[in-house]
Amino acid sequence: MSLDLQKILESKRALRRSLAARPVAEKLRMLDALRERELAIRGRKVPADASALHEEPAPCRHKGRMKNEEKETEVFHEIRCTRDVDSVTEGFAVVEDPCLQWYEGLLFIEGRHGHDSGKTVRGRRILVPMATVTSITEFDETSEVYEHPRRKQKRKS
Amino acid sequence: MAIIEAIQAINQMQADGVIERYAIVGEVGANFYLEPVATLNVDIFAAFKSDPASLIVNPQPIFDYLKARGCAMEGEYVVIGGCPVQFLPPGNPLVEEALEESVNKDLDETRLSVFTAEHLGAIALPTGRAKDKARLLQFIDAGALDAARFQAILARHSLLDAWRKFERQFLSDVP
Repeated sequence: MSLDLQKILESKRALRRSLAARPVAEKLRMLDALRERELAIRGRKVPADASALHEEPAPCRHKGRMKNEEKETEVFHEIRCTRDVDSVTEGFAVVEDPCLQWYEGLLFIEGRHGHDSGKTVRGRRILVPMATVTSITEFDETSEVYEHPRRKQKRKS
Repeated sequence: MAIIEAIQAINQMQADGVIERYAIVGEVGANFYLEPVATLNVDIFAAFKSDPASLIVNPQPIFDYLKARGCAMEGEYVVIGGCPVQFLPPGNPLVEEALEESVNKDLDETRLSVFTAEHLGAIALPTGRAKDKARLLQFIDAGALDAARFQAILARHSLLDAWRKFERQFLSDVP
């Protein structure tokens, strides 16, 4: 046994190289064994509790409160749908912090309402089924969405 | 072996026309180039067959196919042979290219497809997660990347700035 850090690091590197060089089938068997051990350590909750299994997902581009890099302002997303998902969203929703989430095999955009209105409360969670989404537009202010000339015209009529 | 069983089921699904091209990524994909690292699930990028009239990628046929064969859903995972598998659509040009250029590997009698080491390394760069950065460092430390090929991928996908930042953070002795 050596206390020389360089020797220890080199020894670790050599072990990793020898592991990497093993046949893939053997390495996959090792992965299975490592997984079993990981589950044993964490407790076998996986089938019942997806959160126990959940590795940190890769962040989708708009996860979290995004800042427009040039303007240093918050951005909002207008999500338009093929049909009215419900009477609240009326074919579009202004969403803060959108990110993709799977629930029971279906993909949703999950976020929070970015605007108070007669029907929506800012900050309340919203789930938009991805299958209904036709477009996602980025805005700096929610007022940009609501004051869009086309929407104003629609409101008047 | 749970992972092999899952891969065989995915091969069958491909043969049955439910998915087009697929490739294994994540820790299991990296396992083809590096030493094994513990992971709980298998990540698969797959070209989903979708309705040509729709721009929306719909993975439902995959879930329907696997559910019909007794696989359970666990959140975003399908549990195949006891192994949770996550199917991901190629969401950007880098992943599309990686899928297109993925390489076939033969494992006993099972053929499977994985991303090249250079694509796995490049994809780890923009995600920003610590575990992805660690994996990229593993690729570098193991000498698993062809430098010219890796640089070409980074240049094609506007990742050179991210790479320089990574180099400054992890590969430079100068603070």
